[in-house]
Amino acid sequence: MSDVITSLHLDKGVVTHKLIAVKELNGCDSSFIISCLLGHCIRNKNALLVVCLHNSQEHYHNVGLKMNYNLNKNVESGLIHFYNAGEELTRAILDSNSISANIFCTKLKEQIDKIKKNYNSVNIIIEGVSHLFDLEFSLREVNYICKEIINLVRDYDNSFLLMQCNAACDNDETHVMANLLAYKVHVLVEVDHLASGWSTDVSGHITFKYPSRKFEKEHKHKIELKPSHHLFKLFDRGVKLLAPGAV
Amino acid sequence: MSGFHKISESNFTVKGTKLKNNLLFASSGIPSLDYVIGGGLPTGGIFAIESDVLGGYSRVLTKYFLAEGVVCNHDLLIVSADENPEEIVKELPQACVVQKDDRDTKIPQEEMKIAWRYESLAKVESSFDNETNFGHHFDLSRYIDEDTINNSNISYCYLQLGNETEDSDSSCFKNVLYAKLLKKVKDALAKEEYKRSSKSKKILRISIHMLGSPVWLAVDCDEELDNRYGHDLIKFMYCLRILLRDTNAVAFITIPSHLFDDDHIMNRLLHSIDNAVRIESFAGSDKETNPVFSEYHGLFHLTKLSALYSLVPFVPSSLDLAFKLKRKKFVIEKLHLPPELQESSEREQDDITAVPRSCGGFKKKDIEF
Repeated sequence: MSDVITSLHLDKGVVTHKLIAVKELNGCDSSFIISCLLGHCIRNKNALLVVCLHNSQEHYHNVGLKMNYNLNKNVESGLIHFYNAGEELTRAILDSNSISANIFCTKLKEQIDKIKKNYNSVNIIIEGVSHLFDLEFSLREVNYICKEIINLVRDYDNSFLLMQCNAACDNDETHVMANLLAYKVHVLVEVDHLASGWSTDVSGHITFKYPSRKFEKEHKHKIELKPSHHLFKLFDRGVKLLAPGAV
Repeated sequence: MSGFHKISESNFTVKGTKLKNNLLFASSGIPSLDYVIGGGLPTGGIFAIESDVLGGYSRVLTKYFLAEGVVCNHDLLIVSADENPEEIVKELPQACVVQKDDRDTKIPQEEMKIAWRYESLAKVESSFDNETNFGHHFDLSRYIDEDTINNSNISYCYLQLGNETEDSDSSCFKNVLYAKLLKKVKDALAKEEYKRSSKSKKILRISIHMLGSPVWLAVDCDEELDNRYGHDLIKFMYCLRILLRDTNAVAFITIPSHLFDDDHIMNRLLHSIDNAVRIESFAGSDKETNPVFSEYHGLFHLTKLSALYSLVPFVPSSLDLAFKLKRKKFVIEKLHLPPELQESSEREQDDITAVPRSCGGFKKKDIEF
């Protein structure tokens, strides 16, 4: 778990704002990164807003119990806040209403403001950004929503924002969106299955790329910055990063 | 006496389910399928089958799923737009007891003289049937009697395109069938007993037959033929995922994915689906006559395995799976090539001169050089 936090550069505390994108390739699941972050925020008493579009709060709670933190308890105390965006948007569809990108943005901002009243910094996780396309938001609208939230986090300048996007296949809008996000962020995480299929020894490949490094002094003169490749193995109680080739 | 009690255990006593990761699992009606997807169908999740080209085997699997529901007293909601779902129910197989294979005990343990290194190895078990004792076996030749069906809580939903212009105007779907079905599912799930927090729990099995077949796409492809094709289906699947979440309902959906023109529809759908498998039947393909596959009726591919309420998804010991349909069993096994013990038909096939026997082709002995 701490390996993931260190690789995301979140272990030393968030001094300025930090944008992270998680790109899921070939249907690989990356919810373990969110579970790790939830644990990290609870341990450090950092306020967090999770915008749920893919998994439910119950899922993260049950995973959290095995990872040694009680999510529901912290939700009750107000430290962690879950906004069930998927349910709200679906309810609107069932009632034959549609929520526009603007309204959705306003709703998100309302949620953020609520937390901002009690806490100095507000970290945000948007899981399943690609599901917005399922609900017939256009690429332009999804990009607009993400841009607004990014601007907000930039203004706070002491929080992180993680956006998780599933890239269905190469010529799909979800893939374009994942690439757009990858362009804007400080840390890009790519999660993929093993090329040979599933294995019980290793769960998949994980690659951390740091596009923002090219603006840092120490990396100024490097033309090509190397990404760090790892294998990861999921356990009930956490995740372990392994060097490529090691099992 | 220990002061610790598992609170959860006393709460869950729903017939035909088991508890794993603090979540109820229902059986699919096929023990070996339950095993390969990680112990059954998680409640609150969607299980999808990409059906075989002729659709015969996916229909059989649907029948198993529904029959298991009838045996366990679960509520059923059967949806189809292609045929009247009452027809499917008429053919539900009856539960039966299958004798376990006692072959291992009958074989006398002889001392191996040549291949003595293999003596201590365990017998290769290609079938997953004995791995689990969850679910029932069904006899496809005998049907459940009408009384039992009438006494079960079954709702039917035969969706047909009518002249509901009012609905289609206000609906968020181009094809009004999706809106109708979502409404039906929402109404069905409104009952308190299907909520995960409820005290008197009941399981609802939702079966949607051939979702995405031409009737579902008919209106969708009327207008522009750009990448919006099939978008209704993707939207529907996501809405269904959200509706089912945190309920005691299981959705079992068969999808004729071979009808979709490109991969992106199925890939997008799979993101909303929890577990998915694909059936590749040999019927009508060249594999039907291939002696390598002579023991099986088709290949069984696992396309998505996810872990609800857990970090680690279940991965079976082998991913090369094949299935065969017997009268009393649908068996999924590890795919094994047949042993080359005798002058097998495989050799015959390789021999180019042994061509069609029935078509009056020449025989090897007729050729003279």
